[in-house]
Amino acid sequence: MAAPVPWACCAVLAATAVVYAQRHSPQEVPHVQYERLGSDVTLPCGTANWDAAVTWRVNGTDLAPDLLNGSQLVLHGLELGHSGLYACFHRDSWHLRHQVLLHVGLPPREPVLSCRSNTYPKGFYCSWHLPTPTYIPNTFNVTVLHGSKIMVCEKDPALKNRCHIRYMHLFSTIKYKVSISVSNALGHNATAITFDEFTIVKPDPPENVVARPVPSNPRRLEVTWQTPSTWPDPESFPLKFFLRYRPLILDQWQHVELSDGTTHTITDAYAGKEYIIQVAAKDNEIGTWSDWSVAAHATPWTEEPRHLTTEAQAP
Amino acid sequence: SPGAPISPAEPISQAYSLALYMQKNTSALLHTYLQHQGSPFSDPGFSAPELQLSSLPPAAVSFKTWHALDDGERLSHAQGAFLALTQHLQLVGDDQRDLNPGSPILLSQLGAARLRAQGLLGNMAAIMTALGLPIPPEEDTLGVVPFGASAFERKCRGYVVTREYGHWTDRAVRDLALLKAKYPG
Repeated sequence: MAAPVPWACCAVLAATAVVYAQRHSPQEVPHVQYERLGSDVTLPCGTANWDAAVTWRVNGTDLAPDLLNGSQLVLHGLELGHSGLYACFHRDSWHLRHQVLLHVGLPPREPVLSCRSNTYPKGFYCSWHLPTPTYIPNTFNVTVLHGSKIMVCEKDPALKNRCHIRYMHLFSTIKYKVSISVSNALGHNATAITFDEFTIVKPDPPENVVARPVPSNPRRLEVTWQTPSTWPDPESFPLKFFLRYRPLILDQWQHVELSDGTTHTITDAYAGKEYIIQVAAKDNEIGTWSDWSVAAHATPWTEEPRHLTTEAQAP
Repeated sequence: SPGAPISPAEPISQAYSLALYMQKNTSALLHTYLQHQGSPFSDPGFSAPELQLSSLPPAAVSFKTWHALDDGERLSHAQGAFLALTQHLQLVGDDQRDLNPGSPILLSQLGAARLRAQGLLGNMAAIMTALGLPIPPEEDTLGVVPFGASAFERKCRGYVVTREYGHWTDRAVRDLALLKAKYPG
């Protein structure tokens, strides 16, 4: 830049300082910016004058000059594809003036929160998720109140959207209130649910369901299973079971409810037909039925030797 | 006949059936009671779980404590509770006869609850005899009842009684189910 001769040495010093600042300026560390999907954004080139001659690049690719308003980059109708590292350079010297790491996303919508106990009465867990993605990082904060007492919700070691509450308070109806708030750079949201501990009880399905034919009995199948290993105390809190079975060739299930024991003999099986059998569990008093167990398959005993036919057997 | 050991299975089974039957009516009793007391008791979702009566043992207990009880302790806690409940239900009945004289349904439900609680006490006494446990003497659980209690105080104590009746019945069902499994017929 031109300067009067008496000021030449100061101008040189100043120019050197500017060059030094450009090479080592904090603008070389990108400025992180979050913007909302669909919105318009104007990115100034750091502290450059509006009429400075600059070039913008995104992720190393030059951007067309028609996106510029002076030295500022204007982006209309932000899409996810606009996310990236934007850099503006002094046009002639190619010195990097400013960098912006742009993240396009959305503020969070109301989170979905649910709680369940498969380990009654030892505790319950709560899980949450967002109904639609935000595309940017979110932080969740969960608080649990039992009446007026604050309880600790321990983070699940494996699942990041789950935490566990230990409770051992029986025979009362002080409700739990679980609240969750979610925040990101563009906004925040929250929700809460209130419930009695016994309403969220749902055991895991019974395990190791095995069905076997009964020798010399062409219409019987013996079914055995185990209480879910997650249920902490089946003696004090016994489970009842629901069995369903059908031959593979039919759609209609037969149902049997069993109040105790972990075996059952089916006595009305169609001879020679392969059966599918499943079991579900529920606490005797409270809560809801578990999901159906993994299915067991078995065919009742038939006399050997036998030619398999496709005719239906008389029941 | 003295000397012959009585099996506890039969009285346990009877007590369990009665407790199950009682359990079916406990939330209706609480609901009917609240509906007859006017606001705030009759407001939807009314609940004051931290309200307790010092003369009535609360059913709420930690799992650890409840689990560690032996048969004798289990039964004696239940005995004490249902004895207190029969006496408190009598008091609540008297209060409601005063506060809600034209409510035969409420009064008959309270009366039925008291009779069933008395029945359960009898069954539990039979279990304790069969197990060779001493039956605690009947004592006056109400103590000095403040007869000058206001209408609001009476309504509150009736709420606590009908609520705890439900909780103790839930607890009795669990206790008796445990005993039933332990002494199968």
